[in-house]
Amino acid sequence: MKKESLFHAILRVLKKNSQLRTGIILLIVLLLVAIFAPVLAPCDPYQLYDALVKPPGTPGHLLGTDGLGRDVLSEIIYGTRTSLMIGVIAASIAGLVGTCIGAVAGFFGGKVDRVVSEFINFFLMTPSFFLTLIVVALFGSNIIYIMIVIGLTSWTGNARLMRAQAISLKQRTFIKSAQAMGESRLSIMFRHIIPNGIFPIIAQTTMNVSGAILSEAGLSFLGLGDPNVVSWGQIIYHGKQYMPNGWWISTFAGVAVVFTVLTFFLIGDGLNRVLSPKMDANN
Amino acid sequence: MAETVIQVKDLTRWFIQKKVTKQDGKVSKKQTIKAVDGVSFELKRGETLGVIGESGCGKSTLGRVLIHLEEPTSGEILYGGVSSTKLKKKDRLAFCRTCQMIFQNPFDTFDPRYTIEKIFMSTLKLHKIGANDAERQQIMIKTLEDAGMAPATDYIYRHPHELSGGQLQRISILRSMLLRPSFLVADEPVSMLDVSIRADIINMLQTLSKEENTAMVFISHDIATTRYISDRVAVMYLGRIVETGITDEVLHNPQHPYTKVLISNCASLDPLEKREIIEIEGEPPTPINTGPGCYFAPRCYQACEQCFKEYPEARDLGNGHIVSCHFVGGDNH
Repeated sequence: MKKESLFHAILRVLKKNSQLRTGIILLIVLLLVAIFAPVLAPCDPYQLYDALVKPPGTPGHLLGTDGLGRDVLSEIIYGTRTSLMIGVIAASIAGLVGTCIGAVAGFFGGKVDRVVSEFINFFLMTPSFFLTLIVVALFGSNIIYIMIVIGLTSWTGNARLMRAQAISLKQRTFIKSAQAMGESRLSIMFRHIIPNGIFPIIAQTTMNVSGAILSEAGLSFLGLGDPNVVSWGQIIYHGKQYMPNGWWISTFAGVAVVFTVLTFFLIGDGLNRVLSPKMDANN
Repeated sequence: MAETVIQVKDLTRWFIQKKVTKQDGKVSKKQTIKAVDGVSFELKRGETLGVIGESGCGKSTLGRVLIHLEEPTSGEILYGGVSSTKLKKKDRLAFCRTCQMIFQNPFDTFDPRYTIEKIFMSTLKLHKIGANDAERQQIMIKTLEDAGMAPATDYIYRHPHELSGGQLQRISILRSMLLRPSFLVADEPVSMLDVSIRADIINMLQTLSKEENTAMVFISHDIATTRYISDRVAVMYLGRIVETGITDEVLHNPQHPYTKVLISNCASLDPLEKREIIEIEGEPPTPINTGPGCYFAPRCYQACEQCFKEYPEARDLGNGHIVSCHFVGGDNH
């Protein structure tokens, strides 16, 4: 058995795992849509056309227009950029912060654990949406602030998962053996505890991507979204008022959200299988 | 005389169980579990001490305390005359090169995400053995092939779950011995392995420790294995060593009633051998709130009043054979 290159390893894994393959294909589609939005979109999403609340199939507007006369298809295409960015960046921040804090609490234990756990509980009982509101109200609804704030208020779930993982992992023999070999506590935490306990965090982070997209939608609903960009959340909440006579406005944006969530779920679950060597062997 | 590698003086490891209010409103008392309760011994270079005793008598805890995976509650461990706490504080890596441990479960000794190559390389890198990666690779391959795992390329790209218990335990031993420790703890290294490869592993452990002149504590509940590998044995009961001495002397001429019971219940291959099995009553007690008397007294077949009153002092019967029992070597009976 020879050592194979990373590229070949990835190809081999993709060939075996259909979930991950589908997920990555869908993600590539999403990314292409986001990158080539100006080419793909038939109209300018900010342009207000005269035709208000026109159903799908109207000439020039494939998915119809919304209450202000904007082209829904173009809005959704441009919204992909915003939603993907918010979802991925906010969830990554939450994943990173949560993993580190949870691993420290679980692995170091004792007094550190008690203090950090209280800190986690404090964040857990603070209504995170309310916190987000305050920050956005104070600092303005810049999209960067929104991403950071959503990320910094949704890490608690990750932290608790990682803490539980760390507590169970540190009892395992291989952690004891790493200690006996002389590895430092930080090195054990980053090389053994986190890589072995990260799988539920990955699944959780994919969920957080959709959660972040929805959080941003909620903010948009309250008029606290970044007014300078189009996002799926804004389309859905705009379309909500037109539900009885303009179902297509919310529906297609909602489908886009579902599509994205599915994509990240497939990738998350697929990665889960690939990253765990034992599950890989079972496939 | 060979130099003394490790000296253990009155080592204790107590676990404190806190006061807990249970669901039914009862409050459990604060309890002290004396897992290791005053153990003393010393080992010279190349010497092997077998530690035997039933489950829960503190054998494994003793092993973990010896290499500071757990901190001792009191007592001292001296490596080459220097306190282990000091050694560890001064240079953790150097301390790890002094004492190493083989674990009971080879299937869980390695990070499941690491290949065998990465396991070796990270250890070598950590301890700065070998000048560069190529040299480290050579060391790794030579070590594996010398131990009969040839060709090494068959093994090094595999993950731990793709190897058998025997192979993993071999790798575990090789990795520990790469650091050339002067003291090694083997915590039931073969109890999870197939009977067919136990002898191989034991032989390998013995060969390597003789080559490197490593002192070893061999923890086991298998008396036959212990007898094979050890120069001396120590019999543990509830955190204390009740009898210790040269292997053959202790096993052929046991003085402490607990040792007698243990040996009489050991399976023998010879069905014609006349043996008297001494049976003892009662469950193995827990080392919680042990009374003032001999710990074994409640189960002992020859216990007298005195046994319940005071813990017997260790008496030297000569030739390093030390027994803690009121009936042995004393003047009262």
